[in-house]
Amino acid sequence: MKAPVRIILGSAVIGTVIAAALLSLFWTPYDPTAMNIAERLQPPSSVHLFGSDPYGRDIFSMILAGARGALGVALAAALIGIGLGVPLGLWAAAGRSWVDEILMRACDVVFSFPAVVVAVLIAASFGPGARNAVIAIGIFNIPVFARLTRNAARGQWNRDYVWFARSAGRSALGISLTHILPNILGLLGTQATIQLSIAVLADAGLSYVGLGTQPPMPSWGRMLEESQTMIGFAPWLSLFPGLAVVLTVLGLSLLGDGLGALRRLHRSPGE
Amino acid sequence: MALLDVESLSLSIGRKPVLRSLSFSLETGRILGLAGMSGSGKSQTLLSIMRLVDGAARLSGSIRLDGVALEACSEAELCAIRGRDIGMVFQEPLTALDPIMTVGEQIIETVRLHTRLPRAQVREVALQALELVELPASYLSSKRYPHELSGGQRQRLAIAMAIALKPKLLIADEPTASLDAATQMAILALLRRLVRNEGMGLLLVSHDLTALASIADDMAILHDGEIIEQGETLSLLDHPRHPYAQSLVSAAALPPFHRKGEIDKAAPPILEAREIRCTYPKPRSAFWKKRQSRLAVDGVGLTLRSGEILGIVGESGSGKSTLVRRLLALVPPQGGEVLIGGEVFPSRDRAETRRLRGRIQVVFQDPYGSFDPRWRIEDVVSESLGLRGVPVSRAERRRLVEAALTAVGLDAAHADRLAHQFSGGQRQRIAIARALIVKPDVIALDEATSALDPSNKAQILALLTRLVRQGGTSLLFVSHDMAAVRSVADRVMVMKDGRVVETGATADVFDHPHHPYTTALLASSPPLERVLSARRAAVRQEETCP
Repeated sequence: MKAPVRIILGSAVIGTVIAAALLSLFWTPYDPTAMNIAERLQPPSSVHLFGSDPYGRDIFSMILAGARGALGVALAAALIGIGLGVPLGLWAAAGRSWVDEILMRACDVVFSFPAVVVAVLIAASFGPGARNAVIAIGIFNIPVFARLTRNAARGQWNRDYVWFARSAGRSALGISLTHILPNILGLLGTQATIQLSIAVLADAGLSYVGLGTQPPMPSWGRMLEESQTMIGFAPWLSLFPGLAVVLTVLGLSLLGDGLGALRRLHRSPGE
Repeated sequence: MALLDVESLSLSIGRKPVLRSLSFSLETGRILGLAGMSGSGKSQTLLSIMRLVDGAARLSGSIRLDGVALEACSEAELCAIRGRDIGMVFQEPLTALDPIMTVGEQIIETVRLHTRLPRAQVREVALQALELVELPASYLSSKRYPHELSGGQRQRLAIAMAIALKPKLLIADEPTASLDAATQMAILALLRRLVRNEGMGLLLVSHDLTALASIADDMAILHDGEIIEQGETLSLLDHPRHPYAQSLVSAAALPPFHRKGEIDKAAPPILEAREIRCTYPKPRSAFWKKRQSRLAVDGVGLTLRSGEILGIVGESGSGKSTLVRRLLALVPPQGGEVLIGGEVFPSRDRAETRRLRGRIQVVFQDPYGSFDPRWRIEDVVSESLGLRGVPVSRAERRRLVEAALTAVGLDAAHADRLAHQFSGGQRQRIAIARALIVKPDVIALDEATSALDPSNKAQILALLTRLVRQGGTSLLFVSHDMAAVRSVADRVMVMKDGRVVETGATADVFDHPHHPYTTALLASSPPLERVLSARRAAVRQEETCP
């Protein structure tokens, strides 16, 4: 698939998910938390578009509201990674070799822990909930961005224009902000979409084990968990939240992939 | 019948004609040199011959290799021909070699890919190829990887891979452009020997007229996708008829741009360096071992007077660039001192260091990497204006940028463009404008003309000497290009392994070198004129005793 196709497809999918999340702020067909035992376990129909769950809650409404939680957690986690990782990476690239050494070895330490297990640990010891899920996922985004930024920035630091900027008396901080950062933004943007997709998946995973967004606020991961015993006679219960997770992750991956390919295509000869 | 017969070869990509009706032919045992500047269509010609142009391109004309019309071949037939009958050597051997294969595997793999020979015979073929390019046979089973070889050895390996299967046609695209002078000579001599002894034809593409002059039997000069002149090498270079060919030849000969007798020897030096030492840390050999360091510059001193051009020559790795960085205080001082107008640089006082930075500026080699790709030229050129210590208004800044651009022969309106919209020569002018804008006393040029083709190089050298003549600035002209240094420098300093081995007035050093290294350096990069007269002498000798 060509880069523009991937980008368009990815943006369309992600646009839909974002629209769903925004829509759920003002309107959902039913209250996603309202139980209605009379209409429990309805298969998809014109009344309940995606069917209803054992408590009679409308699945479509829950999916819409769940999009808000999934995107919110992913976005906040990515922002933690960018907000701390990028400055650390720039510092590692610009600073003395021992700064670089310490920061990068610290990254190694974080990388050496299995991310999901530690996220479970954090969420379990500080209490389940969306905020702790954000922190748990966010911590693992920091070294990703720090290392990426550091390596990309290192490449820029060796370019002649940076040598010139130094001979023009610019400070390391000034060079990092005026030259280095703008030139690696594209790369960081691409990585951000990839990290978002990983975060969506991680959030679903945490919710699945009950450590993410707490009831009654609906979440895709918990919907999957709750539906698995009923998959034989009410497959719609797991089908739709599953599809929501898959499509969101796929959309973000396509977008990130496409942006990356496009960036490589349009690199100037000297880059 | 010629080995390679190209007739009215045209190529257009989109609507743009890239090659216009090229015709040339090449016999077995001969070398055809294809000369032209960047963008003249040299590489596209090679790709067209191999029929490797991409699908959107339109190709017409006929290409016959040993009687086979390549334009009529299917893709499968072409693949077989490319591997078996055509060998290809590229400019940068490191990119043509697989970094994770040892040298031996590299060449064995090439042989095995194209033949169905048994193992022992494959080794035999590989050994022969290594012997032909004068690499030791032990390379076949050694654990060496491409990055452990020197540039010259790598290029030999790449050539061995290209000729292992005894192709009829060898194509070499700037095979010596990334090598230093002595290695260039050796590789060219090797190519010549291979063509003579192994019965191949060589199509040699280069922008370096001197390289072509030293080995090509025939030459074709390419300009804007057209062959403007072709013929036997000596007669073409001795009497070029087309005006563009004439300008190329005269630019390759590099006239002296030199002016004499204006330097006030009594005045204190504008730049002085004493006992400069720079080291680089080597990677640890083991985690618990102490870090070793490599001495890149070892006790170098120099003086530069107002209005003087000091040439610093030496091969790559001789410490020239490190010295420049130290003079510019871009690397921390590790020994010795640098004085600008008598003041220690860098000073302990930050503001003082900034002020001194404004007195010495720099132009680098790479016309592509020298600018932030996102910045407009106005921002690029004005970057060091802050060194003057006084804030500059927008209108004033614009005025200064325009003045600097005009001073280097560019249009003031260029200030609004981005760097990628300019050619290599123009970019180097922009780099000079950027250095000029703070009116420095010294401009250091680190290989500033090395990436340029001869006509651009001649123009930039003329510009530099004009700037010096107009007064106000001195130049530190660092280059491995002996001809360029000779044409501009007042004095020359020869560096080897971080030390100065010889220094003196340009004419003295070039005409009567004292140090054997200087002699070797000069011998390895002869001026075009000397190459031509050597060839003339060889031809005469062949005629008298056949």
